[in-house]
Amino acid sequence: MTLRAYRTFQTLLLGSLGLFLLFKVYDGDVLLYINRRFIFLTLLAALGLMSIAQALLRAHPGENPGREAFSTHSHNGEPGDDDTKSWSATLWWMALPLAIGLLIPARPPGSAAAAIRGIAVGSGFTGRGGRQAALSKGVPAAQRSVLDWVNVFAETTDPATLTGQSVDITGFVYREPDHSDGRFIVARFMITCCVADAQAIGLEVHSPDGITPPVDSWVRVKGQVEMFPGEPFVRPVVEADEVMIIPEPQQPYLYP
Amino acid sequence: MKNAAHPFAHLGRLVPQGLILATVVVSLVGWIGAVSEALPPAFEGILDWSSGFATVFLGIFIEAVPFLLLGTLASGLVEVFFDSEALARMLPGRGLSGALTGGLLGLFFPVCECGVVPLARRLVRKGLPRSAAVAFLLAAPVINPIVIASTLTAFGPGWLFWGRLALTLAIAVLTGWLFSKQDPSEPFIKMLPVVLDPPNTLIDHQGAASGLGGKTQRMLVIAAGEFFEMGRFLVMGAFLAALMQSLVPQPALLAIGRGPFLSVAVMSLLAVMLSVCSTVDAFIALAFSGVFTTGSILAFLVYGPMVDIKSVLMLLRVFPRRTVAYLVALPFVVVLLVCVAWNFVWPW
Repeated sequence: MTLRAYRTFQTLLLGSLGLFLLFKVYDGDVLLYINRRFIFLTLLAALGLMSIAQALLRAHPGENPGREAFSTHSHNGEPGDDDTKSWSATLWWMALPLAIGLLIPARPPGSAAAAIRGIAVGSGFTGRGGRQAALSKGVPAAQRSVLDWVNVFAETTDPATLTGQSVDITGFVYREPDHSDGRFIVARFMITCCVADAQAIGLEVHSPDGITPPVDSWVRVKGQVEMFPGEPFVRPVVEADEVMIIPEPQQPYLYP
Repeated sequence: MKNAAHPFAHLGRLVPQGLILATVVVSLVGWIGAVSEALPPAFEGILDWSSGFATVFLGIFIEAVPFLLLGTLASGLVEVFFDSEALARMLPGRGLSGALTGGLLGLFFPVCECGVVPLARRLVRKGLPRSAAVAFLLAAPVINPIVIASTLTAFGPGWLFWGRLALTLAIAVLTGWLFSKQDPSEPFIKMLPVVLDPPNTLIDHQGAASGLGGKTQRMLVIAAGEFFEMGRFLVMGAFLAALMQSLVPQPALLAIGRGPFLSVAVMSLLAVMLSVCSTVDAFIALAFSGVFTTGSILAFLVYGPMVDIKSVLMLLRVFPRRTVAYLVALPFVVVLLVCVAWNFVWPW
């Protein structure tokens, strides 16, 4: 491969990657990969990639910049076979994110990923704390998300005060192997940086009629908080009045 | 005389080829899943897995691209706008003072573990001593304004905040100082790939890379070369990290790592495996803070930015294997010793 060909493919790939990122931001799919606070950086990167592509385009030497155009500064003046093989491999590698991004639609992790990564249920969540928990406590009970509830459960010193509070949450259905009919977890993934650090959190739900929605279906659950004895903490459970299957939201993650 | 082939040389070719093949298979399976309506349940499990894998892979890639781009642009900036002689006058001496200066250089070049590798290579080519370069490599992903601010936001000005900064700087300076003892005749960085060699990045044959416009364009051309060279290893690293995340059950990993010693080892391993950017890893560590020992959280905060899957692959592109082995092992030993001791002194 000549330098000219390598530069041409580089230009094409840089421009395509830039456009790909722009399109992902435009259609909102980027939120399935990264925290929304990084969208601005992704936009900047997209523009940067396209600017570099344009610079490469303008930098194409007018004459035939094949092997003879190489400096004598290294490799005895010519790119060796190893160099050109390395260029081909580099181009293939850099094309992979584009190929995967275009071929496979983004799908947020579900219950299978929660099982691999682990899930913190109810008061089992012990992160964040402090300011985050204070913010969650300030949210009216019926408007609290799954994340708000696990924050509140983790921080409360008197769980009894939470008993009977109204709950209205949405999430996907996750089930442990030992869950009987009518028991399931309404789960969400929260992401700090990107989906690589996604942590599953959830609330246990007892369905009134013993019916369990299918695993990974998205549900909206309305009910009240009840406390059950557990080790080492009491176990908060949502006694559901109503369980509705809903479409998957466009933004499935929660942000701490 | 032709050198005898290294007995494992073929592995170096097979592993990337295998990864490419695996990625193509994952893409195809994911694509089939996307276009097919009804599939056998067993096949759907594979589709779910490949789709989840692809999402994590792209998540790491998209999140890291801006930071890698920043590092490659900084590299181009140094190459084009920094005069070697002027820089040589500003650069630190060798030994401990060089290592200390290198450890603090991140305050002026706020790059994470992706961007620091190409920038460090360019600075070395401009005359940065190896002690300073090593210290810069290890410290810059933490000792920079962005990461200092994010750690402060996550943990407040407490022991963990100061511990992260102090231990990172100490390890970076110590390792840098040790490298200053290396035989100067021993190669420190690999030869610059031919496409990144400055004469091959000229705008045209008339040497039009003069004036601000021309220089800027040349900077961008260099950044493009660096972006592709390092980006390739970012893609491989993202691939491996996504693979590990999709296959290794984290609850089992975390369950075995509860004691003062094992917790440090496990959290260091987790930091390597997650391969998240140092600009935000403090918030991720925060989520583990109630579950794991403080020493292990410190290990996550210190070792993760120095060594993760994608940065090791990038380092292997720039440095000889032996150097990379030291860069991985020395910080790990110090992190292990200090953080385990931390757990015994402050066991909460």
